[in-house]
Amino acid sequence: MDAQALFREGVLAIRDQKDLVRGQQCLTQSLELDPTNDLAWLWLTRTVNDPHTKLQYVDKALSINPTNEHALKLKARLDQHAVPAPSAPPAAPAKPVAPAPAVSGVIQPLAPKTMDTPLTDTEIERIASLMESADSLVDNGDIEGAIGQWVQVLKIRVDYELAMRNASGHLWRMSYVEDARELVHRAIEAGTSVSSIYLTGIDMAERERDHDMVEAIQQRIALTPNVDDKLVITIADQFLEDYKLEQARQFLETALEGHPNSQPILMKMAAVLESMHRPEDAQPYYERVVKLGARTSEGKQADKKLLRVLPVLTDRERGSFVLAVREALAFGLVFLLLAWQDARLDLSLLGGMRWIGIGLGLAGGYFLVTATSSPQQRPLARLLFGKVPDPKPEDKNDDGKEKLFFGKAREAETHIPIIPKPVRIVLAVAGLAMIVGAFILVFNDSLNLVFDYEAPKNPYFDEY
Amino acid sequence: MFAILAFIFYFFFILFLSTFFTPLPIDDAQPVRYRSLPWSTLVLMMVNCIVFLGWLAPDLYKVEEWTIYGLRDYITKVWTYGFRETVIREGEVGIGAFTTFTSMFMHADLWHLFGNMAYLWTFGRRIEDACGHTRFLVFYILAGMVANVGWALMDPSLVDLPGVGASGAIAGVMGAYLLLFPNGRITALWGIGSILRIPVAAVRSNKNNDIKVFRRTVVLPAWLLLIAFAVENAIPSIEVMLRGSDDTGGVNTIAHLAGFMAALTIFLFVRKDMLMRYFSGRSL
Repeated sequence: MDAQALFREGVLAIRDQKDLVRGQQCLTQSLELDPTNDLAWLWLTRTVNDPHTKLQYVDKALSINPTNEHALKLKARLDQHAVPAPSAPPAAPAKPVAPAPAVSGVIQPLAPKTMDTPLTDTEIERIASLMESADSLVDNGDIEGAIGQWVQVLKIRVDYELAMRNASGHLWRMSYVEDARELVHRAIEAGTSVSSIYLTGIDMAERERDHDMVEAIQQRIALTPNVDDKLVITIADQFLEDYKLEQARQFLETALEGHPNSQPILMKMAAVLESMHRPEDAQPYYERVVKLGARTSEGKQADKKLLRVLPVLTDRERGSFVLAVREALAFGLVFLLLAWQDARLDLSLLGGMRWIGIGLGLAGGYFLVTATSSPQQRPLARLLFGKVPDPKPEDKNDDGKEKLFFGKAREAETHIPIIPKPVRIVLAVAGLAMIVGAFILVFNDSLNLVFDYEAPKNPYFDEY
Repeated sequence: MFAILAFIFYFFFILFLSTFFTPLPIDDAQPVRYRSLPWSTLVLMMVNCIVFLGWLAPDLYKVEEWTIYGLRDYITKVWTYGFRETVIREGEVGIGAFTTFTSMFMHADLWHLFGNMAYLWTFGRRIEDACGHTRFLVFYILAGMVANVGWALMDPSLVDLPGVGASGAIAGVMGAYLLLFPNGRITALWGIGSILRIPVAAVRSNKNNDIKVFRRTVVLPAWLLLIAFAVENAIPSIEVMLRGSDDTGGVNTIAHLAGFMAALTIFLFVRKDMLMRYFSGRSL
């Protein structure tokens, strides 16, 4: 088995089969064959518990690809929890690492500088000069000379797109298949983010009917965090064109580990799940898309999809003090209007009792809201002896579908305390009593008129 | 028997005439999100109907003579329980500010009731779904009160007239609909609209046989109907406010406008999750 196949097997063992021992064996063997695979070093961190060993693997990955986002995040996390290093840390996988594999023919080892690494001014000038020289050589019919120039460019930047396209294309046409493949694979191994290079690699492998290689590159795309989302979508679409729905799902699932905040990939995942007649599994992906931004085109599409399902009430809304006060303000507003009308539409005549009534209405409203629609406010719920409720058993019908609760939002699992029922009953009764008291205070004059009724004048019958 | 048949014929004839040029919303073409049954809307409709049919209509329609004196009982009720600025400001007789509630459930005649209930049924259900039953009810009452107070404060006319009808509160519900569901689709009775639709539907039916060429109703965007309603009420209201004229054909456009503006308070009433979705730019 080659390094890529071993790498892929290792990843599958860790991720799907949860077999860390097997995963470690495969990755170690893969790294013996190809120690420049930064992702393999990164996956290896999952097979060990010791933070120092993890840190060393991450450092290895970063020394190969300093822009690897996952490695950077993991390193930051490990650094945060760092403790003094043990005396003899394992520096590498169990077996000694073999030297990098030899390269074929005219193609010399290339620098691992990718599009994501900035070039110096000298390097930029050098590339421009080499590209110009290559163009002149092509004009003069010296293709081999031009290839030499493009390869020089690729020594500076391993994934320089134009040089790669020209060099690999010409090498392929001149039947130097191994060399063309070598160029492409080195860029891929360096963790390039240039989509066309991956697609070229897949194209070459397909022409050679090397299905293992096709899969390896697809896996690489899924695992490389800095590749363009569109490339991931393109690969997923290729699976879908062949009706390989499950493979598309697995590919996207892997890709989402590297692109957890990619709306297009999340949308594609949801679409694939819908194609597999699994709408309930697609829903969380739509929800992730709208959480990332409802105003983007993907956000709007996901939002439309979610229109057919019940909205979700989350802890963010349940625990909000501001949202509860907002509802109480509505009570205050109603009582203010009542008091204003009772005071003959003259605010200056409101008087102290009516203002007290308005305040009482506001407070009563807040009590009532707390007792009924907002019993999980932070920090009030904890202060009123609240406890985090046990998760509710899933309410499902006989056919396994979720039961519908008419008139209510779907309640997401809660992690915040809720005020106990007896306390809520006390709050509700107190709130109602305050509201009745407030009504008597703000509507006092009108109540007196009703109890001491005298018919108003009717201009048609009383005056004429 | 003849009288009943004549009345039914008259009802549909007037309905045809009144909806030929002006669309009358009769249903919301889109579903509700929380799948709630509109209890509050139904209760409000029922109370309005009972108050009119059981209390006002007998005095209005069973009169021996169609004169002021023949309508004495009906007029007395309207003058006593309708919202009168003079009575509110004097605060010495009648039921005082209680008229703000009673006036909301009274209607001048059957057409007044029918039109208001059609609007309430059309726009109320989705707003009730967005708020929940109790909060919707409180919002409805609040909008009705704002309409009454707004009318009393903004109308410079000194003529002592009672205001009756649910239209101020319903205008609040319509304003809330415009804020929350501007892209909603409303089914309306609209003669001209149906006629305009015929050639379009006929062309489309060539490609798709499912399309009905002749339909009694048209589906219109909610924003169009609601903005038209706001403009239709704003222009005469501004004229009344600027010139002090009171010739709005018996329609209290200022109260409608004030009620419509009360819709801004809907954000105090909508469900929490809905409010968060609204402000994050999501569909409701």
